[in-house]
Amino acid sequence: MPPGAREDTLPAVPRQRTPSWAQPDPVDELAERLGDFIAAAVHPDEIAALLESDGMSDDQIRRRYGVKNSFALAEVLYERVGRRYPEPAGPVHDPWQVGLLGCLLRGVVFALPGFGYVLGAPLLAGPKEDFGLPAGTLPLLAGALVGWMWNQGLAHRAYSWLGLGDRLAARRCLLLGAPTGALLGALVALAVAGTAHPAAIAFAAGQSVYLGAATALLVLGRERALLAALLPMAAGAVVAMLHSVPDAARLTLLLGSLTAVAVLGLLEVTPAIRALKGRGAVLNVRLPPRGRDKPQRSRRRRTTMGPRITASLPYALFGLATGVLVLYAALGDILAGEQRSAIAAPAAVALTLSMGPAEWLLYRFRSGSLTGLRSSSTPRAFWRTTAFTLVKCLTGYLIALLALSLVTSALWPQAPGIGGIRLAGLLLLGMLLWTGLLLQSFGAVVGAAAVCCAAALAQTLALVAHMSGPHLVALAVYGIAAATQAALVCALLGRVTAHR
Amino acid sequence: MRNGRHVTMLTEGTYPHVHGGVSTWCDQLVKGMPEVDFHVVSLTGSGREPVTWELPSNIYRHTPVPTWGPRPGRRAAPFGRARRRFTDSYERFLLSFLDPEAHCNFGEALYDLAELARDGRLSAALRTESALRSLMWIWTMPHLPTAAARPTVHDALTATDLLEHALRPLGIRIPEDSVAHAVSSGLATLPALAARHLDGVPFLLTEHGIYLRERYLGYRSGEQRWPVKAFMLGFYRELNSHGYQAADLITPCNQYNRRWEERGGADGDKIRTVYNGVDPAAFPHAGPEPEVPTLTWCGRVDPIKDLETLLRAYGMVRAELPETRLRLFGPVPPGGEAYRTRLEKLAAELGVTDGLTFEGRISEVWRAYAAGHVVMLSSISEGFPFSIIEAMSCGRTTVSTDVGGVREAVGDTGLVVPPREPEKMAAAALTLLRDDKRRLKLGELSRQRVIERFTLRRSVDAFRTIYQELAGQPEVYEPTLETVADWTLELRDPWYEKVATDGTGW
Repeated sequence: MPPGAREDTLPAVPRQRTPSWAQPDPVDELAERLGDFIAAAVHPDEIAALLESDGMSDDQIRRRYGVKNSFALAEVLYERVGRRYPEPAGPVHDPWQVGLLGCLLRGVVFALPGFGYVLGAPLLAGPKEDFGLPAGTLPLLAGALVGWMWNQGLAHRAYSWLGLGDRLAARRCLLLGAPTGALLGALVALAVAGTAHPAAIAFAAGQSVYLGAATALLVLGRERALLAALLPMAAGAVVAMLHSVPDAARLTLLLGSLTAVAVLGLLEVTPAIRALKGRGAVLNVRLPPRGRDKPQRSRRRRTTMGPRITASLPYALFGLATGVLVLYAALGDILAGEQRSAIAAPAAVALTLSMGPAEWLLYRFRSGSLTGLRSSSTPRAFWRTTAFTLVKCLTGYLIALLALSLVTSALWPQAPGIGGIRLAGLLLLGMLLWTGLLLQSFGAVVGAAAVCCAAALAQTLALVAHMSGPHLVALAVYGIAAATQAALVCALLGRVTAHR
Repeated sequence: MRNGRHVTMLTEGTYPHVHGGVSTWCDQLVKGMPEVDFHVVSLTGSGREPVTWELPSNIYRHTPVPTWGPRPGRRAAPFGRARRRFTDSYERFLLSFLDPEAHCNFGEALYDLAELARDGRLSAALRTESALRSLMWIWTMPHLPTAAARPTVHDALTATDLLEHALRPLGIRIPEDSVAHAVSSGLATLPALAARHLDGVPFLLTEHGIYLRERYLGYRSGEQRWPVKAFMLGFYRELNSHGYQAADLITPCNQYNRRWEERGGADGDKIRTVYNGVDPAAFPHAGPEPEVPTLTWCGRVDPIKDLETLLRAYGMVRAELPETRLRLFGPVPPGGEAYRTRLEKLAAELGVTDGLTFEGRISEVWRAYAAGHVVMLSSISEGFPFSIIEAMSCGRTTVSTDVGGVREAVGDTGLVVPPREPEKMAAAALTLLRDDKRRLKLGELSRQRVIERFTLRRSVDAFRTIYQELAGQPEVYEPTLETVADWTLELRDPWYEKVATDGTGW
């Protein structure tokens, strides 16, 4: 630095001193032209790569810049320009952005089929069953549980195919899986009912078909079509609650909606039918290989790598366990020998409706934890941010559930107010379900399935053993399970690697 | 017993899944050696990519290795002592490319990880929280450049994930009695490096493009933050250098690639250039020249070919020889329509639209070369361009830019000009168009040069020899310099008739 020069007038990089009449230094010119690129380079060779790809030959470099080759020039440039760390261009990618309306809609779609039971109730009329259940309930419940379990597993498998980018395989999986599940559900209902309730069996079969078709539509993202197919039936049910409606009309509404849903589902998966046919035809007419240039078919390896079937099993179990828990919440009073069936039904409706906000809050949590990943520079800081997001989302869900249960029990005809213990039990059950879904969305489904299965089993045992104070038992079971699952969530989601 | 007749060919993103330059070369090599058994290990994306080449019967096995498919190996990460050993190896591995001052050996750490990978535990180990914490700890050390870029937890997660996918081929075993032949640098060398170190399998490395240079250029439009970019490119740089140092022999397709190989630490004595070859039967002598003075060009209409320079040079040629035509053969690749429109606009500005034609794809490529007096090449980047040696095989002389291996291909049988300098290109074209005697003489010399140096048969023979040499066979076949007198023999040789020789993809 020349003596007397002020420090801030000269940049730190030593410059070639050029008289005013001379050409500017060509290296400086180049450094200025490629400034942004050079500043973000991780190594001089990255600059050499750019220079060469731009068609600059070593001859030209020697002639213009007076250095040996592109590597030497790149090193000069790398030294001359200070490092900068530009952020990637464009908005930050957040795959968890999702509309609230879409999620609420899904919640409504989950709850609407409930009207089917309102419409169908008179068709099932008969003497009461074991445990004091209304006529035909057992085959219906058995069919519903089996269908629920099967379709949770099926949906996971189809989503796995979609995740691999193979929409056709997902459709094929639904095409084969959904009818199988429907058949299975109907057979289980038949096995439970024997020949006693043909109406109940028919209803259970219809319910199984609905579950399969609805799964296909929901997995393939057609909830609006499903909603449209369900609306007439739901409207009919509302009318039927206020006025008396002939059985023929009830049956028409039920069958009409079911047919619409089944046809829509079938249309969604038909591309897979065509693909199946096409592939078979090609395979059948393929000629044996001729000459040594053709590969022998027997040696050709399958390059297809699909998801494992067993990977979907925990999802099915989780579906079964949550199904059982929700059923107990809906029918707990009747099963416990209290005949005020209307008390618990609004709770089940509220739980079902709350699945909409639950889903939205799951997305919010994932989005929030992604933001946390991007803003934290230590694992500890990330843990703090995530814990805060988790508390926010869980509180949000519980508030939504509380509001929904208050509204449904207020609107429900002939339902008394919901008591403190019941409300606490419902909220704990909601917490159990939401944390279970959270664990499932992070792939930790085994833990969630184990906790929920244990809770369902404990509830069943308590019921079979006729333990006193069923509400307190339920409260304890939900509380312990929810606490266990909350601990699992804290242990798992505090780890950065769980959020990949 | 290794005898050079059993070869494991390692590819990444090319043969046998896609068509194009390197794949054609692999196909030529495999079909040219029916007596050698090939095991092809191809690195792919999801593992669901179809095989698009008909595999000849001497490929006895094909193993696709999906780097982005379902996670391979066991689910459980090592624990206890095994975990501590992994953490130690992994931290030395990270230091070897994140902190040059630490003097950790990339190779040693890589081979520790290779043993874990062969045991099926590397992927699970890399996905543990402790692996992530190791990275966080190392790259935030204050003296490292990555620390200045303020890496976040998300960056660490992304970098670890990318590395986990990149290292998946490390666990692939290749037969111990074979010769490992990686046809690109980088990830495809991972199984070969492990096999060489752990089982003593000889390792041959062929480079067509410069793998590392392509990685550098690929990250220009990257979506990742700076620390992730520095991490991945640091890994690729060390892997590349280690491959150069560990290979028993490196066979670039041109001398020009040596610059990067020697820069990466390759021993000059281990580099042996094996040029690509062309089939003189598929590109026969083109016969008489057209009536009107014509320049031709053949290739993909793509910005890397710098056709602007060619058009400008053509404009200058027209100023001197107004009747000259320029015919551009070759397809416009999908997405390249805008570039073609730009070229048409430029031609209109230069006032040369009447003499210029876009001919599109041509099935018999040699006709493209036959259609002109001089074949042009204006690219700004090339490896060992097929369009030049094909034109030469057809007995046409060339004017080409001095990039990649062009000068080696052309020698003194054509004129070579600096890239992006239309004046010099125009002057060279005019020189050749005006001097009939010289042009025809250079055309003859061109064909002679191809037959002497760049035949497909010669290229395949060179590799046959190298395989035997690496397998430790005492008898080494030395290919003789073929003379013009026996090139007719070559035309009757049956084997290469089966080889697809379509130069347009290169």
